[in-house]
Amino acid sequence: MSLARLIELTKTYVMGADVVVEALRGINLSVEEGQYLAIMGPSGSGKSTILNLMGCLDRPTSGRYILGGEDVSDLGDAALSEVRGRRIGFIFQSFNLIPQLTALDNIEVPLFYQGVHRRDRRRRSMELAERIGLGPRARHKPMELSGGEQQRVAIARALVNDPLIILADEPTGNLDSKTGKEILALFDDLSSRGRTLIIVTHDEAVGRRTHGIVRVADGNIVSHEKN
Amino acid sequence: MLSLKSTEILRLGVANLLVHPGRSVLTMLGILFGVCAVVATLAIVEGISLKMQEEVLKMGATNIIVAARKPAESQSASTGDQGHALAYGLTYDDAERIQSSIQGASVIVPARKIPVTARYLTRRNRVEVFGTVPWYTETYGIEVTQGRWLAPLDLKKMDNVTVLGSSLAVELFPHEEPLGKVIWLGENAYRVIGVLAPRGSGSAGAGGEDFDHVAYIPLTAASRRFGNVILDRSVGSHSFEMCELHEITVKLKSAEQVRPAARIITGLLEKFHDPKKKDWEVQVPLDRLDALERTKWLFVVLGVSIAAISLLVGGIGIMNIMLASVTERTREIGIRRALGAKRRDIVSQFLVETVVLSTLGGAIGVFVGVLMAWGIPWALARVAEILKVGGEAALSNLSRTVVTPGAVILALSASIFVGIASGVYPAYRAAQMDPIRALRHE
Ligand SMILES: Nc1ncnc2c1ncn2[C@@H]1O[C@H](COP(=O)(O)OP(=O)(O)O)[C@@H](O)[C@H]1O
Ligand SMILES: [Mg+2]
Repeated sequence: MSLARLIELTKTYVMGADVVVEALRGINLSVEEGQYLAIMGPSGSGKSTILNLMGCLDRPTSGRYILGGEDVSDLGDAALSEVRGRRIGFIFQSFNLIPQLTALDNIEVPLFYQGVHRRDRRRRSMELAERIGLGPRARHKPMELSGGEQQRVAIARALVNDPLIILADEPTGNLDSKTGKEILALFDDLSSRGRTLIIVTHDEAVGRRTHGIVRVADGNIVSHEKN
Repeated sequence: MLSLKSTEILRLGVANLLVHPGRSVLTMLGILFGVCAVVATLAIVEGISLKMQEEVLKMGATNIIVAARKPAESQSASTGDQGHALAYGLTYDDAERIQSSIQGASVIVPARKIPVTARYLTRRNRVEVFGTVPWYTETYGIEVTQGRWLAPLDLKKMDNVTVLGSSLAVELFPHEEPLGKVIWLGENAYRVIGVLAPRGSGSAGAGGEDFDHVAYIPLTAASRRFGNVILDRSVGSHSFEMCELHEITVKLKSAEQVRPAARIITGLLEKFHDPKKKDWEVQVPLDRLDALERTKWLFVVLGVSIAAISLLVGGIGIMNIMLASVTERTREIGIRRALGAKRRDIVSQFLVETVVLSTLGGAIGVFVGVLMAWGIPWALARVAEILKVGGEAALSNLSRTVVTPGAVILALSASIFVGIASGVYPAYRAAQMDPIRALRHE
């Protein structure tokens, strides 16, 4: 059984009276447990839309989305929030850390909304900060961290709730190539430990490190190559 | 399923407020001033009201006071027509009729007041001689500090004995012991048998009289020595007044009996006195208490309205700043939503911030208000000292302020309410944001 299945998924944005954007036109995709997939395609082709739907940040216009055996296509807002908090790990291009919180506090945010006790949260965030090599910088605020360090914090945050799937939308887009490589090495490491990862990227070299590349154009999957 | 613990939400709210401490302090100023104003105003009103209540109670809440009044038109007639004796006021017959008509009236005290000059050696003083009976003390809380009060035997023997009011005693006997001394009241000599504790000037009493500048003598002695005619030489021109009784006090067992009894007394007096020249007056201290209560509520309503306006302004201020804060933190809201925060988590996050702000502002406001309530009488006393104004009425009314638990609870619950009311809309706006759009917000 697939970990995540997208069946004839479409997403249409109604902009005005007769302006309609068909961002996705019928996506079919299966993601197996432990798979490391790259989604590639030109800008505006619908990559982020796919990731948002897979991350339960949005609901499809039509089609089904089965995550961990559960059909989440029609869940309400509160239930979707619950799914995001428990089963999804997000990593963004622009890091998206909360500026007034320290690195450790940022890592703990998903646990906060699950009602995990402070002491347990702190233990878990320290453990992860250690693992991603943040060391003493863990008590600093995002502003005081380098881009690479910030993205490490975001990765730790994506791992903190032990998610079914980690979704990364152009995670190296804001980093210099050396730092980008370090982050990608972290992804390789996660994959080798059995994590299920989906990464949106423009970089063919990144694509070659994964188990497969899904190519998207104009709201359709045009190919699904296995490496 | 699992909702956030309130302590966690509270901690988050406080942490967020501490990100901009200056802004947070400015935001709660409106609430602070509003609450401070309401606490101080209510304390002043309560203080004045208590003071006046005490004065009314000094007259006795279960008492009815029937007072003689000089009819207005005959007063002008008498000043123009010298030597014409003016007959007016209450009579012993009135007292008797009242006593026999009202059941449960425990004491009826006839009293007479005669203005005379009091003398001791070379010291002279204009005073009022108050002819009364031993049981007068049962009606009014009178305290004897030296010697004794009038006894039934004094009345029977029509003895020339007198009990002095506190200030009169001090004026006539600044250095000596008054007890046993003989003083002159008008044409007659009286032996001082007692001195009273200060009763205070009865500004709430009949005609604002001074109870301490009085010489009390047996009623029988008063009738015999002074007759029923009073010759008053104090105004330059001579005028004669004939008045049997100046005042009758009817003491009842309970407050419920007061109003029916007052109606009976009014009926009796209307029947037996000339309706064209109303020379009597029925005073019910209990009515004054009610009037006082109404006046007090008027002030309370006024104070609370002013406070409500400043709380409203404070609330709008909080709401504006919260709306700005929600816009400023759009990205943060998106992040939190993406990481599992439900709409109601976002609502409580922002609501907690406004409630913490307004409650803290309210609490500080209560504190400052209590300090003000405590400081106002002190400051006024200092000002009075510097300006050498004695304890005049206006100032003495502010000489006490009382902070009631009710006022504090009202102020605090109002500020919590303002916090919730001003936070609901910004919190709703925050919660309704689309997570994806919020995440893209720059
Ligand atoms: N909220 C939205 N409202 C309207 N159109 C949108 C919205 N989000 C995305 N789109 C449109 O959907 C298409 C796919 O966008 P996106 O998935 O962000 O592309 P990519 O990530 O591949 O660059 C684009 O044409 C974009 O303009
Ligand atoms: Mg994109």
